[in-house]
Order: sequence, then structure tokens, then C-alpha cells
Amino acid sequence: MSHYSDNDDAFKQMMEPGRLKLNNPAFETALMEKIMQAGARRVIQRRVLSYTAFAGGVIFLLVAVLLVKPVIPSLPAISIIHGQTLLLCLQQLGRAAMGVLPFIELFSALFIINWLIGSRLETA
Amino acid sequence: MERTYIKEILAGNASRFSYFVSKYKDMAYNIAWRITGNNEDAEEIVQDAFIKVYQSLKSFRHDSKFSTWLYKIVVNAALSKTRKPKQAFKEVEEQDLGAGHTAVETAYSALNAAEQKKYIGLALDELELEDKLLLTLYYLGENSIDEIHDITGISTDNIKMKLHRARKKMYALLHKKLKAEVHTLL
Repeated sequence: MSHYSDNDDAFKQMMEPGRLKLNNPAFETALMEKIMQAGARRVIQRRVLSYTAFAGGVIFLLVAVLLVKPVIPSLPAISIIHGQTLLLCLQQLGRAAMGVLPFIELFSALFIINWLIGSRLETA
Repeated sequence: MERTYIKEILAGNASRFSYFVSKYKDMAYNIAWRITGNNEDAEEIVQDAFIKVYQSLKSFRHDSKFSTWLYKIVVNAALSKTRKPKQAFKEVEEQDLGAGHTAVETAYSALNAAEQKKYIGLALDELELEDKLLLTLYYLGENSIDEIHDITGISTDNIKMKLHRARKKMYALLHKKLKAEVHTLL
């Protein structure tokens, strides 16, 4: 078992009766009840976060559309790279809405969209 | 398998956590009991530790075993509950029991299961907190030296030395307690 003792197995065997058992049948049930409650709370928190992220995304897109509106006639001029990035960001927003995307990524997606719009406005 | 279960729990299947509770509750209780010395505190510590683990499961990076992580939480919670920075060291004669080991083991093995449990419990109770914790983690919990290092923060060399000394003390205490039986056999 180890290199520093010569009689480890015998000692281990001797210690064995010192092993205690948690003799409370209600312990596991009570604990699992608390875990299930915590789990349910976690699901609710996650939904609230998802809906908040989704609502935030929708509001942002509305604002973005309003900002882009004046330059809509020049939209075909948007480069393919910008178009793809925009699609990627929208996809990220979708993921955020499903609650599978951390907030930090959501904000980075929003930041990129903001930058894209900014650059379009500057071009216009 | 544990990784899969953790993924399931994180995906929302909280009931899967019962696997970890069933598997580790006894050892966690052993550790907590050996530190606190009473059933109520030990149960409370184990319950709180499991809830804490569940709540921070997302941050578990699998750098260590699940059990190591849980036991570390249990040890810290139990130590802060007892608020005993350093237990008074009960002097145990570390006499060379090289020849006496066999006598102790023989006398001990002649006892019935209930008596063995009693004597081991009595001897463990007389050990310094750190010694009984290390013996529990190593011999009863079957944690490796590295895992014990992760749990307690004690260096591996120190653990080896302390375990060796704790074992000698345990033999000495058992020798003292089983004196009558040892003499009968000798």
C-alpha cells in the first residue's frame, strides 16, 4: 500500500471496525429534498435569466434596426464578412435566449453588433 | 461515470445527485464525526457540504476526484465548527513497539467485532485531531497521499511522516488499552 510502512495492510484491517455508518434513514431523503428544491430554484433562475437575455436581445435589435434604418438603402454594400458576423451574433443571441450562453458571450455579441452598426453609420 | 452524472445534474436532473449522496455520505460522516465528535454536528456538516457541492457543481473542473472535493469541504466545515485551532496534544509514548505489534494485533483479533469497534474508537478518540483525521482519510477513506494533501493542505512528505507516527501512537494506545488481553496472550 505504501513504501514507508512495513505492515500497512494489517493495520488497515485492524482499523476497519473504526468505520462509522450514518445510521439515520431520514438523512438521505431530507438531503435529497433540499437538493431537489435547490434544483427547482436553479431552473427558475435560469429561465428568468434566459428570458431577460432574450428580452434584452430583442430590445437591442429593435434599437439597432432603428439606428440602421437611415442607411438601409446602402445595405447591399455590407461586406460578406460583416453579414456573416451579424448572423453569428444573431445566432449567439438565440443561444442566449435558450439559456445556453454565458452572459459574457452575450455582451461580446452585442458589442460586435454595436460596432458593426457603428461602422455602417460611419460609412453612410 | 461520475462525469456523466455531473453533466446530467448540470443539465437539470437534480435527482441524479442521489448517486453521490449514497456513495459518499458514510465517509463524509466518518470525517465529520472524527473531527466534531458528535452525531448532530457531523450530520449537519455532511448535509451542508453536499448542498454546497451541489450549488457549486458548475465550477467543478475535474482537477481532482469528486470525493476529494467533497471531503475538503467537510474537513473545513468541521474544523470551523469545532473552532479548535490546535487540540491539546495528548502525549503518547512512542515506544518502539516493533516486537509488540504482533502481540497487539493478536490480542485485538481475539476480540469480537463489537469490542474491536469499541477499542478502535477509544484509541482514535485519544489521538490528536490531525492524527485521527489522517488515519481516517488514509486507512478508512482509502484516499491516496496526494488526495489527502489536496484535502488537508499538508505536504505529502509531512503526511507520510505524520501517518507513520499516528500509526505508532495508535499501536501504543491499543497496547495500553488491551494490556490485560496482551498479557494473557504473552
